[in-house]
Amino acid sequence: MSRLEVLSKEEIKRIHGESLTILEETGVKILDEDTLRMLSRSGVDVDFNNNLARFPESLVKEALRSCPKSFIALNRDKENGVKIGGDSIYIVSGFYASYVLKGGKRMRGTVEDVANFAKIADCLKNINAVGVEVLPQDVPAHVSELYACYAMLDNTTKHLFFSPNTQFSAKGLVEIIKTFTGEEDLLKTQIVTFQSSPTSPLTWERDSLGVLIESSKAGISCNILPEPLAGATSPITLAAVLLVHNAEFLSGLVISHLVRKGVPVIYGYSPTIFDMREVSPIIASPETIALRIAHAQIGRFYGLPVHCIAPDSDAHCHDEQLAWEKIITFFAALNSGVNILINSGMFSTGLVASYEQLVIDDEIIGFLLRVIKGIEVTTETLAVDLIRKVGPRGHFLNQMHTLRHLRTEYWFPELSNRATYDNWLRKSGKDIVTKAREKVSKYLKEHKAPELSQENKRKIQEIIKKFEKMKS
Amino acid sequence: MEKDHSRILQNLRKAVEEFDAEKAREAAIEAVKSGFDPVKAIEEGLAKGIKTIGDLFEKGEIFLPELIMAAEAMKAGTQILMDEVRKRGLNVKKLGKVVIGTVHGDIHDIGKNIVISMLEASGFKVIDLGVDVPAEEFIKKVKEVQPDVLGMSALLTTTAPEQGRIIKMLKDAGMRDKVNVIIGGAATSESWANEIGADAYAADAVEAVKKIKALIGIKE
Repeated sequence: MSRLEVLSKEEIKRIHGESLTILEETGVKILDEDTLRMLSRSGVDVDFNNNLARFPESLVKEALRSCPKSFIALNRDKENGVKIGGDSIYIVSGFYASYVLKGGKRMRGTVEDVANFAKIADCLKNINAVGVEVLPQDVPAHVSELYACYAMLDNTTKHLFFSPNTQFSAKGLVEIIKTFTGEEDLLKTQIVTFQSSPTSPLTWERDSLGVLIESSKAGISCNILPEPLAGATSPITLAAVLLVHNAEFLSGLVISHLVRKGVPVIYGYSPTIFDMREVSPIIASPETIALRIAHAQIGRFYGLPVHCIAPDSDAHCHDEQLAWEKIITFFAALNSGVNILINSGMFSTGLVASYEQLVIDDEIIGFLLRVIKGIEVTTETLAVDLIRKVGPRGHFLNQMHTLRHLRTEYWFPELSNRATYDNWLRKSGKDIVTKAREKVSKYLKEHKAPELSQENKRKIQEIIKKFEKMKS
Repeated sequence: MEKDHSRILQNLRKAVEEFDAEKAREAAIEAVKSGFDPVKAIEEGLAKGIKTIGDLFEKGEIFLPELIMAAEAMKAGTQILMDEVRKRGLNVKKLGKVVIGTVHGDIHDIGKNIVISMLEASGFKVIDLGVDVPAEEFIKKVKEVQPDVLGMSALLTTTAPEQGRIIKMLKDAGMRDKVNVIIGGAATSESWANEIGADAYAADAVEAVKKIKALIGIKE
């Protein structure tokens, strides 16, 4: 299928060029002495009094050149390698909600929720990797992600995604993954991906930097995800949002490159505008959809793996707004060539996760993946001979050709109704959320991912205890 | 010998379950050649296969074309076995007689024909009146054949009332309590069946067989 585009080639080049100028002239605030010293040693113009780093164009270009265009994501057991980058599509559940919607009420996330979400995601065929769906808040905050990591490793074999809140947390996660895989260097064993965000406009806080640096040192692929808030932390115009985003991303790319060359970096984005009437950030407006498309275009221009949040919604309950926003955000991202799509299972602008929604999102994703699979035109699929054989006024229900393509040409829904009114009433008469809830119960009751070894369980628990005793 | 017999039955059953008419024919020929009881071959071989397929269809695990192809495989095998039945002067007891047709003004026959193949595969004798059948023709045939069940198909909203008209004509002729009436087709529904006084409605061919069996008191 042809891709969606909102920018011309010239416009992309202009955004790229202006980004280089901003990096070189305005610079980026780096709130960490060690990083500033490292940058200074590598030819970055550093103003130590103002913590400001001005990046020369040549260094940015070098980082772009040496960054891998793709990498292989592995599952927990170092198997099922999947290429990330190029035309590939990788769908990830998650990511870092605060609440879980249960019986219409917002409840604070728990470790058990993380385990349950991982279990459900492990069952869903369109979900390729599993992110921390909700931040557990029933354990000490400084080690909450370590508890989450254990719960995920124990309940799914799929590749994992983390967005460590602190450098401390990143260190803990790296230690768990190194111990679990038995690898000192994770560059060739990508079973997890990290994410880190600068603070817009044009600032790297110490902890975000720490996450990026720990990730690069360990060889873990990192999604660099600037989140300029249009009109608040970037100029209000969409072109400027892209520009601020891109400059921030490139600064992160250079830092990662200088820490360790050749570690995969993902061109990430969480497009957010600021609704000036409600005074709230919004991730599923038409502008954010145009931004998703533009972002994918720029990422592809660089040839880097592209990430974007989707499917998303700003609705707070299972209503029509939720459904259409989920579909349009995902379809836009999918159709513009994004490689990694994170946020399945969430709504309320990323504040709420829902078991039912994760199952519903899998359905939406399956539907839309079939759309972009397109239509295959060959001698076999045109079936000219068959049309001749059956002839006018015949039918095709009893043909081998029909049988051959019956299960591969079409997508079959898991939840959506396709029965006639009578049959629907007879079968259940239930709406999609009720049906999703039943699936959730089934998955939680019946599914069990291959278990971790007792030794691994013990080792991970020891690491968690060790970090729990430390102050972050 | 015992082993041979179970293999023959298994081949017949599998041919139907694999929607394979050619295999069904071969298995039937083999059964005849080895002197196997043709009635048993139909009832415990082919029919078992179609029962499995019908159940899978109801569960949504196989699809309509597979159901049709399975019924066709059943038919291919049955034809050969029935020749043998006649040759030996044996008898296959039919489950019942069904007169079926698409009502006047409606020329749609795919759905009706699927119902017919499933009924035949399940052991019913079916008298097919075809499509665009005038109401008088339905009445005449019911009088003449005295079937257990009359089936009427209507795809169009404009032709569905014809089903009601025929039921009324049956009543007027004093024949309504002598025959069970089942309706089907895209324009019809359970509530439509109630409205016009039909005995049953079926949404698909497998359900049609089930409902017809229930109407005439045959246990599954």
